[in-house]
Amino acid sequence: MTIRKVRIASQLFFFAFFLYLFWITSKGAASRIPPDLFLRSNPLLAVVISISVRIIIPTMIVSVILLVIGILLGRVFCGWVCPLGTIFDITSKIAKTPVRAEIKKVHKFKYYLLIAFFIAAIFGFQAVFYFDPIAMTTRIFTTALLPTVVEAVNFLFSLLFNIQPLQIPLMELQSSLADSLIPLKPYYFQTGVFWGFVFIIIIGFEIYGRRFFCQSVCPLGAFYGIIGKAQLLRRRVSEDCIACGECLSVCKTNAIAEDYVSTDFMECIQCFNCVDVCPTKATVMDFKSGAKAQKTDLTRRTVIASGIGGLAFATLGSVSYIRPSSASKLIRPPGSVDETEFVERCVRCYQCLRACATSGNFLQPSLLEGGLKGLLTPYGVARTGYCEFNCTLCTEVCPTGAIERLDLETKQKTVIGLAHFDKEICLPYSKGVECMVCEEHCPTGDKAIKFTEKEYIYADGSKKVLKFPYIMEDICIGCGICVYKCPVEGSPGIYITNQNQQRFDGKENDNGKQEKQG
Amino acid sequence: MGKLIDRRKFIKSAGLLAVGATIDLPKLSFAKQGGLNNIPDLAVAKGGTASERVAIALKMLGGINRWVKPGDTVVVKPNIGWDRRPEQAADTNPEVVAAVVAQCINTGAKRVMVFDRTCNNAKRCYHNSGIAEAAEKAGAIVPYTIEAGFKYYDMPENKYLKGWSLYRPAMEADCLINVPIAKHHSLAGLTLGMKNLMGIMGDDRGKIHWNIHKYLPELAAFIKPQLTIIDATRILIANGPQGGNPKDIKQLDTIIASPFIASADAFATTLFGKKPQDIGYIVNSVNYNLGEIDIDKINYQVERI
Repeated sequence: MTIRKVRIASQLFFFAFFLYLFWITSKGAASRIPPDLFLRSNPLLAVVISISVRIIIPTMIVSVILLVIGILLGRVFCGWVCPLGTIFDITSKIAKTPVRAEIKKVHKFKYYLLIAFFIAAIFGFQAVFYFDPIAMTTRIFTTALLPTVVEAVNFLFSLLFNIQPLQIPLMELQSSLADSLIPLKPYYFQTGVFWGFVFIIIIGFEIYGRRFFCQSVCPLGAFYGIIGKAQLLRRRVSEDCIACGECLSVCKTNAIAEDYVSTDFMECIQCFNCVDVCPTKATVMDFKSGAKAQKTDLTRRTVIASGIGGLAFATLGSVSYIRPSSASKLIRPPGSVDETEFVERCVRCYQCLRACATSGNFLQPSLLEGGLKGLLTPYGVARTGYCEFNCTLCTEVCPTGAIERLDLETKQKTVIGLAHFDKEICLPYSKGVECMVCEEHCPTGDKAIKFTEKEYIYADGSKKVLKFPYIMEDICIGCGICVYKCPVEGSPGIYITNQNQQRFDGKENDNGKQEKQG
Repeated sequence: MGKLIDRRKFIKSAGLLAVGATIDLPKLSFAKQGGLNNIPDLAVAKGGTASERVAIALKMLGGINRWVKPGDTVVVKPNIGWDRRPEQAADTNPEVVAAVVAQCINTGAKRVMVFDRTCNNAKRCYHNSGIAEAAEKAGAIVPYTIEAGFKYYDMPENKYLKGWSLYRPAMEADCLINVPIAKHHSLAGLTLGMKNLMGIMGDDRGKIHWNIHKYLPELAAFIKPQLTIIDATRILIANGPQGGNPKDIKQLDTIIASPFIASADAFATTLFGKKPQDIGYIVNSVNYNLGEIDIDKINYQVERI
């Protein structure tokens, strides 16, 4: 068994492991392995977020392991572990993608991009999540792929359900799937189509040339390339080389120079393809000296330009930053830290959305509701779902601590918003129709929706005593089930704003209300 | 065993008394409803364990084999609407559900299904209510409702509820046993047997609330569950239908069973110190042949364990 085959086995193993973790995300803290392990152990995210928020993120300390591996072995993660890399390799296997030397021209781009991200982080704008392969993969899986699969499964089920003997097996199958992956109802995220397109585009580039994304954009690859510059495991070519060029034609990341002997170690992903293909066994990968390195030279001019770009980006983000008090619809998940820190910590991995979709289906990715800095962050939309009273899942799967982990008792008392009646729409007020569905669903024990009985005078002069609901502000936690269950079509008779929301940093929040729990 | 024989004797004599009573009061038509003269139309069992209560109430009604035949597919429809624990009395008591399931299985039912279209997330409700586990242990399958299983049913005979999407497995089963929990409900007054049938409705059933007292009897008349077993092990007397506040719970250890859904609902109002006449949908049910609602006229038997 060659090392190349071991590498392929490793890729498949870690890809399966990634899928498994994605599968069990809906179990939250109850799962034996933390479902956010890939994200937590991502050294790039750990470093950039720590720079941005100026503290070490405790949940991400585990990333030190990969940091050390990266320093010792370079981009071994890219070749052996990265789930997106494996998706690319599977794609090119199917599409018979060629290695394209011209991609070499864009190698440097990812380093400039990384520099820009670091500079932006120094000025308090964490934007690396956009292209981080791990966050991006979970994001694409959550918003685009899984809803598509769920939709397809539901469509199939609705066809098969007409066949009488299949009904019970279908119900049982759906029940066992619902416990982990396939939610009971199809669900949609407002940016799902966008991320679906992004996925199609990066797969399209992969069909054009092998590992295009990894060579040109990937900030994690660039990060490993830089920290692993002095890596110990290096490609070495002995004098037996007959200059056949086979290695060049199988090198996925164009890391081998035209002389076949030198290697660009910032690009090499240790895939062992060159070792495997070498007809004279002249190529080896080992820890001995004698490797010939070809350097990637970043021009000073472009480095400075990227730095300025990052600075501009950070400044732009600050300019468009919206105070949460003015973005009243921005209902953050329970346990969210202070807004400024929240948007910097959040890597839009959408683990919280993924978990919530199988529970209350409350969280959606925002668009510009929270400003440029808050672009694509999770927030609650009470018309697609609501925050389940007995659920703490989203707080259990956040890799960066943007959502602090809450126990159930704390969560049930955590105020994320406040409900308000729209009396122009709410039925007893607007039409004299008794309804009370909101009150029925209010979960707070001593209900936050109460009612008074008053006489309603109809247009024809007739009168009737009806129940009129109202909100108890001291009790309402803003879970939004009243809005979700409001049977008025179109605009509901009740809505929630983020008034009274509690954030978990001990300081005053943006609405000036002191945190209740200290 | 001796106890059982005593009970049988008691039932017999009580039944004979009832027959005697009917002779003097020709207005009563329970012999027609019940079919068998010595069997009451409504049975109430109090005390003991949940399974004892269920067993005795069903025995009083002449045994579950009146409705469940060997080889039948039976749907037991409890209230699993809320993500609450059994002691919070928002969902049907799991032991009661398990006891009903066991009765069906022992009678030779081919398959017993337990489900509800929940209000909170189904996984949470099924699990935290304890019903999924208890019913599965008793031999039922407990699947979540599946979107594909809902179908629109025309209800041409109805005046108000002209049609609605309903859950096919419940409608197509050989026998549907309705197992609600008795609870406070601020709009409907109380949620009992008829209200529990909303758990097999699809779509936006919140709209039912706009005319709930007119819709519920028509829904019950269309669905026609063979048997209604009201669980009053614990009842919620305020902040229903999902409660959450321990001081709103009253432990009664009672089961009310009847093939007449309106009679069961009517009798259950007494547990809350109310009258059937206080609840709009029970009053309106008289036009739909769902059973007698005047407590004094219901042919019922009470047995304490």
